Amino acid sequence: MMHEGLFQNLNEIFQAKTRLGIMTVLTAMGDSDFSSIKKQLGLTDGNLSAHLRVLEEAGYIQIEKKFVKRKPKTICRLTTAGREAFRQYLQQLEQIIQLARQEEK
Amino acid sequence: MKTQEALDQIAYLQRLIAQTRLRAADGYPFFLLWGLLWIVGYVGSIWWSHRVWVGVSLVGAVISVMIGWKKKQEQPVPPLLKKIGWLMLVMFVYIVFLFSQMLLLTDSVQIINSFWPFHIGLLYILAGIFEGRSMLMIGCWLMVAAVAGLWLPFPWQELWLAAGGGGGLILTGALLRKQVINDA
Repeated sequence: MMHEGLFQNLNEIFQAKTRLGIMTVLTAMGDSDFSSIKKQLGLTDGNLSAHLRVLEEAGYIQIEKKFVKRKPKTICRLTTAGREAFRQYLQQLEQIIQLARQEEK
Repeated sequence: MKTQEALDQIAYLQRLIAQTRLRAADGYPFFLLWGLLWIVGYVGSIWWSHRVWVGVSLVGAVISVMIGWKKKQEQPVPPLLKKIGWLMLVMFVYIVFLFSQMLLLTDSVQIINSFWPFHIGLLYILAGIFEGRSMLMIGCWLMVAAVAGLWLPFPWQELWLAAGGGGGLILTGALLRKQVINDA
């Protein structure tokens, strides 16, 4: 029987595939601009904006708007809390998979 | 969330990380370009003067910037690759300085001809520490080809460096291109 607690404690914010993707891109590539993330994940402007807002409200990312060569640029970066929450989420995913493997045996 | 969903998420994460990781293979157009230019430069310097390299280097620099710009538009540049790029640029400027000092000490055509393949090989070995085996191998090969070329008289050294150096770069570029096509 699976440990129900493990599933219940999973951070719901990361369960959406797009937000998981955003966190992965920011973890792998460091600070990234809006268009880079959009290109990497194949999203529309509206879709990405909505998911970034959720992550920002949770305190997992910071969004900075600035001008580079007179063009507006939106830079996204992970916060310490975001990095830690994502690390925990990945650990939980690993545990779920390990438990599933143990149950199969 | 179910176990299958956890597995799907892990698979998705792995796919994304694979997309963003450093791949020497993505640099194949540079290898093909510079391989061709080395052949033009070395073979050209048999018939014309070594000044052919000025034109070859300029053409190479312009096309390299164009390829780099196009790649940047297609895919964001990973931060580590940016740092490696800056490191290579600093090293390259240092090598240009060394080259200028060497010209004051010697006018041996053999040494001048082998200088660049040797030092470019060294740069590839440095890049290979971060980018993997293919860069290390071509770096080692260029250094060996450059040293071996020191004992060859004109025009055999030029032909050897065109075939060994330029040919080596083209072969590497072709193998990396194949890898990119297979991964797609």
